Amino acid sequence: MAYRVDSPYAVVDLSSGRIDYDRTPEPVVRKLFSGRGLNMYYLYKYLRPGTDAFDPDNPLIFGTGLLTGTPSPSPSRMNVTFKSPESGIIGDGNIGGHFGARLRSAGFDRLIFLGRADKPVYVLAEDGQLSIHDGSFLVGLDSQQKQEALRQQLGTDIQVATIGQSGEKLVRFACVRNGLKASARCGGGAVMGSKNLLAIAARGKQRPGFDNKEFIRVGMENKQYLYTSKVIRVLGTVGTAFLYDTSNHLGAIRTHNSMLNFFDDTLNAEEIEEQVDKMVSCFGCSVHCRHKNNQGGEGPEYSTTVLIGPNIGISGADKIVTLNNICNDLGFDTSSVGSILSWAFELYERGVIDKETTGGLELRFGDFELVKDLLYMIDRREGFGDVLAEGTYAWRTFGKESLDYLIAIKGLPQSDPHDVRYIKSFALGIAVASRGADHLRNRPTLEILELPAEVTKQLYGAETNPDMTAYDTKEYVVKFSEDIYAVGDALGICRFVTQGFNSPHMIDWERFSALIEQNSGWKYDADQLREVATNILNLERMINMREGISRADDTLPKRYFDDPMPGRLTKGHKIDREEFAGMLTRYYRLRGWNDEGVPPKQVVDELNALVQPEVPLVVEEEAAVAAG
Amino acid sequence: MKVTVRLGEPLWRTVGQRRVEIEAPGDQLALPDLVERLEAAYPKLREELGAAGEADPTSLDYHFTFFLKDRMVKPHDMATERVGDGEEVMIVLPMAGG
Repeated sequence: MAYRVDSPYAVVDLSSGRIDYDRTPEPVVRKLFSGRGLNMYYLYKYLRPGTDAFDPDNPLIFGTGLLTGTPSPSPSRMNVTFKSPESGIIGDGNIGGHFGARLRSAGFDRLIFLGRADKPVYVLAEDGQLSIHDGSFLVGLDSQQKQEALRQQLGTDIQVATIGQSGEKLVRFACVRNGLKASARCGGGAVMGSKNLLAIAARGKQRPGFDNKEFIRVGMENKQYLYTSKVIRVLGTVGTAFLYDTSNHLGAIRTHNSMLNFFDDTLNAEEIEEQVDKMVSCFGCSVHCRHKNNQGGEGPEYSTTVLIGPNIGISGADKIVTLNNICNDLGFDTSSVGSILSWAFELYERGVIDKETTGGLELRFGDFELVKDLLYMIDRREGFGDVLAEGTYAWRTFGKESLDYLIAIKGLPQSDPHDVRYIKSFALGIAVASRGADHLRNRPTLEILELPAEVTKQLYGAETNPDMTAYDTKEYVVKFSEDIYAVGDALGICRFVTQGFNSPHMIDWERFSALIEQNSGWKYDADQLREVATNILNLERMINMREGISRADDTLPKRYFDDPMPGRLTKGHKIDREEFAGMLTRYYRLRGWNDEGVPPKQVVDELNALVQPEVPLVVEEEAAVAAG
Repeated sequence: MKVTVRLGEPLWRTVGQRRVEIEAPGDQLALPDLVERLEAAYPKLREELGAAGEADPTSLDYHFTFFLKDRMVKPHDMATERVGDGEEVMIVLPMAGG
């Protein structure tokens, strides 16, 4: 039995072709684990503040979790990290599928790409070695075609992380693809394209943790525990699609760019199910939450269903599947492209933009053929598609008034399909999420259960107000979620089996501890795991602060403050500015930051000493205020 | 009296239909009584619902959520909440997924 207590990685300078092999020292791994944690370590180390996202100096980091590819439950996840071309701050995507496990099989926990190749290339990871190859035959292919072309060239035992033409064309919300899965958020595919890196292929025979019988037993025990969950059973039957009905009933679905909050019944789970051939899973996962649809693709996830359905006015499960598959093949983040389209449609409806801007196109909600055309135009950056391909930066064409109608935070379109004006902790969560408007960083889903205070004390370490529409105590539920999700990301465990995201059960601190001990021989209790989360969250705050982020950026789309929700159970709800400000301040204090959202100098100095970045963040002594 | 029960995932699969009707004497029915009648009419639901009608609101057990007259019934109010003739109750597994 061999523990993996340090972390093998390689730094590839695509400009010179130089490859350096190294290992992250164990003391660093102990503080941040791997995955998202170590990715932030290397982003902070290598990124110079102010670097343009498409500058060759923007580091692009593929990092697997500490438990990725091991006998742990749902251990497929890895993170792709960079400076985002959508937001100009942390860019960080998370992907399941099989690439992460295969990269570890090839002998690498992490690949760091710097520079820009002078011609299109792909990189092969195999038996602890990397090689750079001509990738010109991949140019112009979509993400599925690229994977197939590489399988034909290298064999079917490879797994590939790649991009569509959209990445090559620097569409700001282009994603990284493996199989039919995506590291969707923040535009990592465009950064990959900017480096002329069209694909990474990996193969190998290492199977971390599978030489440890006790690890296999503990992993199996956790999987059997998960099987007892109703939530897991439903996810394995219909995937996330069943969420639509409830949310729509509540009136919490983003509809027509959040001018509305409910839609028709054509996208309920049973309608989506008619488009599904079977359910499929990622590496080592017992949940099987993904649809293999009858049009040859995977999905749609519930988020995608809403963002390219009600949000842009499209009815009908068959149409949603078609749009989902197009987005996947082209390599788009469906959250971003859906939000950008709905934004443009509303702007046109309001007269903020006209045919002069759209190149003669008449934009309207619910026009399926128009949406299809626009997706291909974005992919090729043709006509108005070239404007939309700029993502939230399209405001530079649309004008400043357009920003009043943009559903985005820190430049990143909102991924949460829910209208967050009703559940106030959801609003706080997307406001402070380190990569912009995103629900997967910290959404405290359990708020929907309205659990009594005595129960929330068990979960969150504090009694909280069970009223999901209240503002008080919501900092506790957001921090709890943020902490456990950060550790899950650093371990490479899927969010769907992490406590808090879908259920009060699932893999909790104690179960994480047992798995870490089997993997590394390290003993961590819940408090120590929360310290790892704190290290990651502080590091992310420091990276963003170095890019100019401050309290003023931790806010919400204007509509959420100004416009009440129009219908159903949630009717009349909006966010009160003063209450929101109080909630934000309480969150900062709970994090140990001052009222401007600045971590204490001592914390900053310690993390600077750990990472030793080229350009460390400097905070003044007086900026630090003791935790409230 | 007659109450329509709209079943969310995964409950409706157990009975094969999204809506079922429950009849009872009188003009009002407490939610735990409704659950009891529902389970009597559809015994397979008993395993799915568990102790939904009498769930301990202080436990961490996973509760189904009941929507009544377009509002959500809080766990603490389950025992006292009543449904009237012709009204609809929706039972869902509360999640917010991704």
